[in-house]
Amino acid sequence: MSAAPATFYRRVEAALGNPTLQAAVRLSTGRMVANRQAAMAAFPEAESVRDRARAIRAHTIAHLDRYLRQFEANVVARGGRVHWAATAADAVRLVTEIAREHGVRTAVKSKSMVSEEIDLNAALAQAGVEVLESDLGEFIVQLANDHPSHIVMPIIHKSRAEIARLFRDRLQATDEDVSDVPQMTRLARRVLRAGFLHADMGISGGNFGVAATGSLCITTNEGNGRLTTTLPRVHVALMGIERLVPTFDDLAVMLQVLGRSATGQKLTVYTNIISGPRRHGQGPGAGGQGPGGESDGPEHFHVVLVDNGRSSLLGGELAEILYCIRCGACLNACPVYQQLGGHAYGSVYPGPVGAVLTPALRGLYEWHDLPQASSLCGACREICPVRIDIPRMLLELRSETTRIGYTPWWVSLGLSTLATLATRPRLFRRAQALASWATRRLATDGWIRRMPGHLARWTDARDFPAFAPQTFQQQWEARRK
Amino acid sequence: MKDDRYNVLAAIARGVSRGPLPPGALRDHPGAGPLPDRPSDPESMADSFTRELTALKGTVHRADDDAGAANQVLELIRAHGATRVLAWDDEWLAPPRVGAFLRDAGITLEPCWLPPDRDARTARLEALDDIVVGLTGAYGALADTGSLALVSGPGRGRIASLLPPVHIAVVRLSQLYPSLPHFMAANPGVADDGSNLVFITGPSRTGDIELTLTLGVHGPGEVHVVLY
Amino acid sequence: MSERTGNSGKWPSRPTRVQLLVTCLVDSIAPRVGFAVVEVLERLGLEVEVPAGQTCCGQPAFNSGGWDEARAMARHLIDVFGDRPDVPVVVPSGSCGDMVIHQAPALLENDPQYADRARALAARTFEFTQFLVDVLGVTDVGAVSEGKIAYHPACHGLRGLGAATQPLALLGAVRNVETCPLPEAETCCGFGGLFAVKLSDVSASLLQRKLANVEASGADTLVATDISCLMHMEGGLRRRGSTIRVRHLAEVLADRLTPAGQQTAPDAAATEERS
Repeated sequence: MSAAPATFYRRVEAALGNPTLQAAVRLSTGRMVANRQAAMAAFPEAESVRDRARAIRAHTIAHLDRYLRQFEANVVARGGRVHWAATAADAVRLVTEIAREHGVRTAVKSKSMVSEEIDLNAALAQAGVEVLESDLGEFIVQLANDHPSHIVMPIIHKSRAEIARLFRDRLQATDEDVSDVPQMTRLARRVLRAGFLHADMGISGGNFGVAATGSLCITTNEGNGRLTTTLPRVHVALMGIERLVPTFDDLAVMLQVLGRSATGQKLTVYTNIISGPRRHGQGPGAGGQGPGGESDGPEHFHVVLVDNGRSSLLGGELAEILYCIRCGACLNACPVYQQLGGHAYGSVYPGPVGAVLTPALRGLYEWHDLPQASSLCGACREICPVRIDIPRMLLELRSETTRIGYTPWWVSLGLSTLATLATRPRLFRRAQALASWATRRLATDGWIRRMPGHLARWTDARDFPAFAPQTFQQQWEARRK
Repeated sequence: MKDDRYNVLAAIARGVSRGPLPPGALRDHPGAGPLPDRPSDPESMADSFTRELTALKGTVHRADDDAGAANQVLELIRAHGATRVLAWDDEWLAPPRVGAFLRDAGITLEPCWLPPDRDARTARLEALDDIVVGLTGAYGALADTGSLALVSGPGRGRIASLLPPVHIAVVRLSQLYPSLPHFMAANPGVADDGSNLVFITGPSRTGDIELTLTLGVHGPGEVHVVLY
Repeated sequence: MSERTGNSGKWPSRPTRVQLLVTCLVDSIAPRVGFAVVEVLERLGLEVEVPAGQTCCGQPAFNSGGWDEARAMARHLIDVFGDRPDVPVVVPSGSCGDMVIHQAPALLENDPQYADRARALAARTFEFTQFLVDVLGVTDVGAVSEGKIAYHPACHGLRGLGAATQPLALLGAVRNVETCPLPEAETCCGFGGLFAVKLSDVSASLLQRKLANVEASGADTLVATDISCLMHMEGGLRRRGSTIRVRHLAEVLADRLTPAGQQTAPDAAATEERS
């Protein structure tokens, strides 16, 4: 979360001035929304499962302390370890300490938004641990020294040609290596496979934690999530404290809406559920080799539970954002995201969910522009698999922005003037008459091409209508007489 | 570290007791809900499983009996020109003694064992990396999504369904469940049976680059299910 | 169901009288829309009252975070409309409807004098098309219009009140018009109140996208149920030099009223009771 929010409007300008970016984002988000609609339409229980998914998330958040304690006890009972991070700095310190404890030199990572949130890679590099991103998109982001611009499709903003150039520069790719997307993918697979075979530690996120069993669920389509949590001796999972569900049955409910909402898949290709480290000492050895117990899997399993501001939302107006399951559907459905892409937001979590989550976790001081980046059209609320009322929370944040004095003076003045007039009908009528006189003077043919003051921003792109010579109410009274 | 645990849990406890229940929340657990209405007879489930997996570019090979299934597996291995196969132990594969059958046919079966310590582990992984075919059984399969359910354990390594570019799974009709919720409801203790449960729904895929669908980016690009 | 809806069509008996919440924009900029609403309602046999002293429902302030101002305006609105439980309030705007039905009661929840009154006003307020279709049970209001019409479902009516089918049903029953499917119909036009000024470039870029779709639809008339979005789109169309006409659905429904005496089939349909 390093980008300077003062440049929010400049980033918006940059995004709007980049037609290639806009076309790429519109194409991808459009396809994902269409896939999601088709998947939901073909899912007979879609609405009732969404209701249940919401009820499960709401119930879990309402009793989060209880479920976290249960989750912790069960992870430990299965031989895993649980670490608690109050802040991003604590989380980074814990992961670094775990790496040091196990003598880790190289780590592979599968996609984790929490790791972006705490800026983990930089800290690990400083501690001498080389980190390789293994999700194809995140790998490209890492090679390009860029940031993901979507929580599910990290390189939605990058064209194939850009990636081909990057592969030539950074991976010494040949013409053949970058001749088409499957070739480029094969090249990435080769590079990453070597990283997987040699990595000492795997770092993953966590889509869900299951309290009743101490299990962690990680979904990926590529299989990098499985490799990350299977090959290296050590597995560290980073998970926000809110990502729990009570039981496996509840997990099944969530999984039915996660894949469909994210990409239109009934289930993500690899739905990987991990209950502790590799189990030793039970049953015969594999093929007669080695001691008894499970054939493979990590020897050590750590879960780092990251708070980083989340607990402060509990019991407040923004607690509902903690229901989020990070499917990315609200980004895809949001017309503002569709026009801008993710980088314009400047935050790790972009789009509607990011516009709530970022100021909620990081504060309005730096991030009060994000809740304004919405026309309140409600497409996010409509598409959300757990029916989070994002517009309600954007409004809450706008209200808070006003209370702490960050609303622009001309907006505040305008609103207090409007309220003064609107509660005094005779004054209101006089103001209407004045506005009518003024706008009709400025107008040609009933429309104004250029408004004065801040309203000039309106007339940059559209004409503004002149007020009617007589209001409806005046004409109505005349008609009644 | 102890302090962090205390502080985070205390902040959460304060938070959840602070306001009213969050929107849509119930005091009590909302319950698992009804199981979806799906066909549950083996043939309908086999049809659905085949349809779903085929749509995802996986392949289902139906067999009539143990011998047919074993032959099907051998044919698939040969079709990929493989002589070494990363395989689950014989006792976990459906056709009885299929391992012996494959060995007799000249196939080397590599067990899934990974050593715990670093250097031996890396060496073993490197030695396995050029194997083209992985062979597994299954814990179950999901008819309405075309998914395999695999549980890790002794002789049931995760890497057989993960490292090689081709995954062959042998599944009995009796292992089919109508849907994911049916599977979960029927196997409440599955987390005790192994430290890893994975649902595999088709071949490894990515669409990260310009939404171009590409198979086999990390996991197997081919998934063959021998179903009988 | 958690999807948001307006008030259900339940009303004890067919109302004979309504109060019109004309909205400040219709009042100031498009009085013709107010009269079109009145014409349609009167044609259906209703007596229309326009409570005097109406100003603004407070939505601009509410959406911009000025909740104290929004509360003051909501209280004024409640006072103007009075305590008339037997009289439905009709509002020809989905966003003002959403404000009165959903937001005002929440804003005034802890106001000892106004909380109940806000809820009572919310319970008797209906968006215009939902009132016609759900309360009166009418889809054919006997309208005869003209042209090739593209309908834009404005967001607050669509997603705030669930007015998805009602406007289309009403439009479908209008004689002599052709409806043109609008690509990406449910995507926001980019208005969003002060959003159109604060983030004017983003708003304008959404507007251009919407207008390109309107032009692609082949329509010669663009219709919606919210004058705010319409004035944004009309301003944009004018700037593009387009000749596409912009109208509120009420204007189409009010078109070419057949004199009562000559009325046969349309009139029968228009006065049909909700069963």
